[in-house]
Amino acid sequence: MPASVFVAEMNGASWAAGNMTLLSGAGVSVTARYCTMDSATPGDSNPIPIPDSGHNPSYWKTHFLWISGQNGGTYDFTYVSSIRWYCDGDLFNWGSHKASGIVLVMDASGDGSEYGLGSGSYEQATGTQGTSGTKIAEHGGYGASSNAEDASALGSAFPVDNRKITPNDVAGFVYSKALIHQAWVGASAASGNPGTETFTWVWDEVS
Amino acid sequence: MQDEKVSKPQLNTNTKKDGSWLWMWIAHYNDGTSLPQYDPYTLETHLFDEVDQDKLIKFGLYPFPNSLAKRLREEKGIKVRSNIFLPKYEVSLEGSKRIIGALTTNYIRTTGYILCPKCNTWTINSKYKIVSIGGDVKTYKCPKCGAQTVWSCGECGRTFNHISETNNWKCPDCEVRVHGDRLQFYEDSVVERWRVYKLGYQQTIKGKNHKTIMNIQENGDVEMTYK
Repeated sequence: MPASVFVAEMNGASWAAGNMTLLSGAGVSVTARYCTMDSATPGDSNPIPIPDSGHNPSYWKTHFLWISGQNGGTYDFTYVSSIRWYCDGDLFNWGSHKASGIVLVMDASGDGSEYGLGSGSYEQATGTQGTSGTKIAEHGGYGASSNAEDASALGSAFPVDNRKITPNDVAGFVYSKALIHQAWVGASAASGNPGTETFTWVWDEVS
Repeated sequence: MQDEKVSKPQLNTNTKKDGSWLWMWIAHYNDGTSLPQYDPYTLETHLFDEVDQDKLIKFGLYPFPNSLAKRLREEKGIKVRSNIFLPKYEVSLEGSKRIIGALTTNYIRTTGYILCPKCNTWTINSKYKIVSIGGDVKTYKCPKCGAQTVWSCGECGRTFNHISETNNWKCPDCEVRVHGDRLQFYEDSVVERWRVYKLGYQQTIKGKNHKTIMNIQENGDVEMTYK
């Protein structure tokens, strides 16, 4: 069997399998939702309030690929590499300009060479629940060692994880590096459910 | 009188972009033997690392035969689909050519769709045009049938196709608040998976490495790249 690759979200105090939620998988389709709480399945709870001026950030999201492909000691793929991510470049449902809404992604490398963050550097999303999240750039851990950039301005797929991942890196499964991102809702945003944004994960695989 | 029940059609999650594999590779050797990615008898999986590059004379991508696809799905749980209309692709390795094969670029995307209440069609949301935003409601114009909310002035009868044509929801001529029967567009999303297959060769000419690669889309279309 080729590599099995799913998109996943990490929440909670520590990076642990029990804190992970698969967003795509066999029979699984969970649409991640920006909100002002640390949860993969917030429902309609704790939406992001529209500010009177400027932007109001959500809690950040920690998204990554969960990769498996080793069964009973046999390898199902040779390697997975060059994991990238992009959005459709237009925060369609939030309005036609950045005053309505923007998605910021953390550039963990600080120089655009690799945006993903290793699981060992994971930090739980913080903020004031129901009110706003902590800005990535102002977080004591993340902000000191990374940049936060407008996802729509990054254009085509940008690198999240440059490693060559083989099935035997971790028995059974592998986590890719994680993309940390958050929504900033602007003062001119419309109230209510803004609909779904289109985010795409890309990777190369040699079978 | 019997209630008229109108049900909203489900977003078609049975998209062709379901991540199924469409081609398998076969390595052909100079002694007349070959190594397939999937053994048609035992269903054993072979990896590209196992290909004997010294004996390799041809490498190809071939659509799954229906019987093999069925067995791989049912006996191995591998998501493959047979499509007899897809072509095969082969690279012959004469001279100093070295194979670039068994490589795919893979995609997972969550895509938002909007359902038009008039034509009952789901369309990807980026094709929709918002005709009002920033007020108390958000509504759209259907890219298929053109259905949209139209606002009108109760005083002079002037109509407005976009709320930006009004003066903050008031008729610019009469200063009377405009009204429209708002169309209720539904939104949903679906996870789509697909891949681009890459097949080609590289060779060193006058000390420089040259790569020629076919980028094969799932519908069989090919784009060639040279590096």
